[in-house]
Amino acid sequence: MPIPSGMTISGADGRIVVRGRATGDALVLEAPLSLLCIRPEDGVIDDVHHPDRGQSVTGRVLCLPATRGGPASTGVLLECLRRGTAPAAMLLGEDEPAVVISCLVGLELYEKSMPVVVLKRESFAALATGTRIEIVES
Amino acid sequence: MVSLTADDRRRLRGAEGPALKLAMDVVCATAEIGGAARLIDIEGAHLSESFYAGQAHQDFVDRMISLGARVVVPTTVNPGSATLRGPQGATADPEAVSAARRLMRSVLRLGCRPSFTCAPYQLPGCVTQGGHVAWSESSAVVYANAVIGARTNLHYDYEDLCAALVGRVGDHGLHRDGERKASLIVDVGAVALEILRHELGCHLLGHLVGSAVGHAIPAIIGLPAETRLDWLRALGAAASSSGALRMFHAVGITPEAPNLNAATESQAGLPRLEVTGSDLRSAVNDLSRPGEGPLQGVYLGTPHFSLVEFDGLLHLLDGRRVRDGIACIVNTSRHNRDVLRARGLLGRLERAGVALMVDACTYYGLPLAGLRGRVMTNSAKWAYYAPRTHDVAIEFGTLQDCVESAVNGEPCRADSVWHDHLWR
Repeated sequence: MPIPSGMTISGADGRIVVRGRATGDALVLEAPLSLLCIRPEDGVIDDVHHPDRGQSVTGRVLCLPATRGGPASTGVLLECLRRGTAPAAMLLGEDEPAVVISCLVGLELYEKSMPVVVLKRESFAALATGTRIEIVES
Repeated sequence: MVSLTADDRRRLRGAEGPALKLAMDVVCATAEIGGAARLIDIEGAHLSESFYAGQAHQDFVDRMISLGARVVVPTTVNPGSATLRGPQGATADPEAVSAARRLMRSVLRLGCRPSFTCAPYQLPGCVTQGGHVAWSESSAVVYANAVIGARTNLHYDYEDLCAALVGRVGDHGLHRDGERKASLIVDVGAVALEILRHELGCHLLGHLVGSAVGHAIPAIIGLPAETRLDWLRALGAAASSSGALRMFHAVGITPEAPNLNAATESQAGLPRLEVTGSDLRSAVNDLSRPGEGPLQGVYLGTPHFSLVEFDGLLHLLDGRRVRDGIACIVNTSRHNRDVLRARGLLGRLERAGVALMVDACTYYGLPLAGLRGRVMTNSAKWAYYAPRTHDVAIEFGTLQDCVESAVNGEPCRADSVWHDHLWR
């Protein structure tokens, strides 16, 4: 297995929706994830139907092609930020208001947030689980 | 870019304090993602902040209270995760019950009405046709858009309160005329009229439509003129459970669909879904989870039972009593309970062995924590969620089936709508 090389993500790769810097190992999900299926206690994906069930998002750069899940998903992400079980950053295939709302509120309540970038299609396609990713602000 | 008024910008700068600054930040970010060109005024809000989903919920509400925040539009709230009074389920953690009740009381300090219902449209003067509102709670959003002709997207937790604090939302999605048109036709013309003239037809159709149409807005053709408001409500609730429905048109029935032309931008090339009796039969199978053993209870009122539905229940009970040992629980709002009391109907329900549950929800949260065994419901939404939150086997039936089962103490399908020849 080749050793994954590092990767830098900046505004050139997409649209920064929440500013910030972070570094972490990529967790690239194959299937859309309902944010409601992240367990705030330990950041583990707790959905028996999801191919990445059992993986922890905590401290990783969570790369989501798409999200599902309703109004309560903001509560799950904010709870993850509060408990310190949130990802280090999120790279998204499409816009997700719940992620942005949680970060805005998390910053206000707990001074905790994470950078979020909506990637261009080709940048998202280049992601691979395990790659070390650095998100820079510019 | 969202274009803002001078008032919007002043709040965004923090000139009206940190609570309104955060609220405006959140409203603007959501509007931006939605592609809104501007913000618009809302005439009301319905929030999910009342349902305890972790300490973060309480922290957010507490912070807003400490900053002196108050809602600026009439605002209702969803059920809590426990009832405010009375015992909770056998496995409910007492600390969780206290936390749930504390949050329910806290949201009222923001100026919200103590509604604790998932069906705010049942409250007098809550929403009007054409009015813009910011609602959370998926089943209520579909009802507001489709049946009342009000306008709302499905709002997120926290963001719903932010909208209520500034009285503004992004002008995008279902707030806009062009975004409310059907992009898909669902034809139920092949389904037997006996099924369509029955609440059951709409429950099943909703379950089917939700899983079939994704984010599309369907125009349903073939529903009979006698389709009742509560049936349309069941349709929307089922479809926003099995799927992500936010709006539909029932042609000839709902306010924005006097005919198919009005419901669509252009009919040419719209995908068409033909629904048959046998499709609906498969929805019945999907919603049923057969089990063994004695019937434990009958659960009605998801979404919250309406006053019309209570009349139907009393009519079907016809003076009889629920069998001892069978729980017959109807979930409704405290408002409806008070109306029933004023009409002298509460005593009749109690004498019949029917218990009302208010302020909470029967499939989520703590009131029935630990519920297990064989249970019955007439609600497609309840049948969808209850097996995901409780260890239950589901007998799905009509209201008449539920009443006969409760009275006889065992599950039965007494309703003539089940005649085999109707379901081909």
